[in-house]
Amino acid sequence: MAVKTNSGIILTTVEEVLSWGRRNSLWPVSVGLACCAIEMMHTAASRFDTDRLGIIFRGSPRQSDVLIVAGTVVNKVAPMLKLIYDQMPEPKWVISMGGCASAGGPFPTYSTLQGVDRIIPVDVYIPGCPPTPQALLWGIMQLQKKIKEKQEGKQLKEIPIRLPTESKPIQK
Amino acid sequence: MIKVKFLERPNLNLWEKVFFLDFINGLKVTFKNLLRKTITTKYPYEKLTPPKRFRGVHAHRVKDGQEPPSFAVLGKFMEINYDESRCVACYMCQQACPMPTLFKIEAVQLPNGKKRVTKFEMNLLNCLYCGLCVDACPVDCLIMTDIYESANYHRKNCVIHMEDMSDRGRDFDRRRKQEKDRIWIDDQERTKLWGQIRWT
Repeated sequence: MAVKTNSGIILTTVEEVLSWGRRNSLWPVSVGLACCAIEMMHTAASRFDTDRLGIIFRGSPRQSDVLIVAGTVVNKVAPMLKLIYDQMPEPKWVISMGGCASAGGPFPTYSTLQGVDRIIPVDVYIPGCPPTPQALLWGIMQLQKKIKEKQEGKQLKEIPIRLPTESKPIQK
Repeated sequence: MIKVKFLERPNLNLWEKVFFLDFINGLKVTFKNLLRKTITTKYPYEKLTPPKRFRGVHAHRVKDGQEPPSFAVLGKFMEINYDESRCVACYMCQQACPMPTLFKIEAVQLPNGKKRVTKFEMNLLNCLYCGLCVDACPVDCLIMTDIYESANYHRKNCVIHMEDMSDRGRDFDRRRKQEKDRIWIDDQERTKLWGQIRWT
């Protein structure tokens, strides 16, 4: 709430509210490239409902904030992906889902793009082949954390792979 | 010339016209699901426990006195302290891997003639999580845990090292070593589902 930058006290409050709104309504483009897209659809389905987090898949890049690159990016589809990214309005974020989109995965070949960060900037990388829906939700939550920390002007920290706590049976 | 087929509208009686009976009949599935219990798991607060054979982030078992007999043979040439990763740097995981460049394994020879593993790195972004490296490990060192929350902001942080792998292995053994390594509870249930399976 205090004045941290050159902008006045009113503007910082507005920015805080904007950041809160942005990170609680991340609308991804519904674009899928390979088998990771199946897992992305599963995340949006009723078991791991993304609507709880305000994540609603949009059909048009003009209405969306997040691009979830789900699947192998081959050289032929890369210009189209770049076009979709360019059509999205600012501010926009990119989640690279799975090994293929992040680093080419198991395809070190002539036809595969070795990581989608060669054409568009990526915010969160999610390893996995494919990542489970829970891993994707975890990645989305890291993106929300990143938006919040960027607005507060903090330094981004490395996320360690945490050891899970003891599991208890769910009482239903 | 396109032919258009005209159909007569069904003659509804007054009862059907007033109460939309066909419409309600069509919504039967919707109403049935409206009354059912929800299956949504509230993810950050309610996490599904994966099965024991889930193929998640890799880990190293430590030297804890429960090694297979092959470790007695290979461990003679190794300089491994107690409660340290029992990797013997045999490169079998790399041989079995479909994408061998994701492994970075290095070992040195100490002045007393023994071998010590100095580096064991895996790039998770190139990994297929197929589990072939786990099957190939001769000393039962490399395992796969049930941890899947491994998202990161930078590509370089998606590489896992030997220290945190052995941490994860210790934790996984403590939590789930005693658990039964069976998907089905008993063979009878499996036979009922799949029939008698003959292994060759």
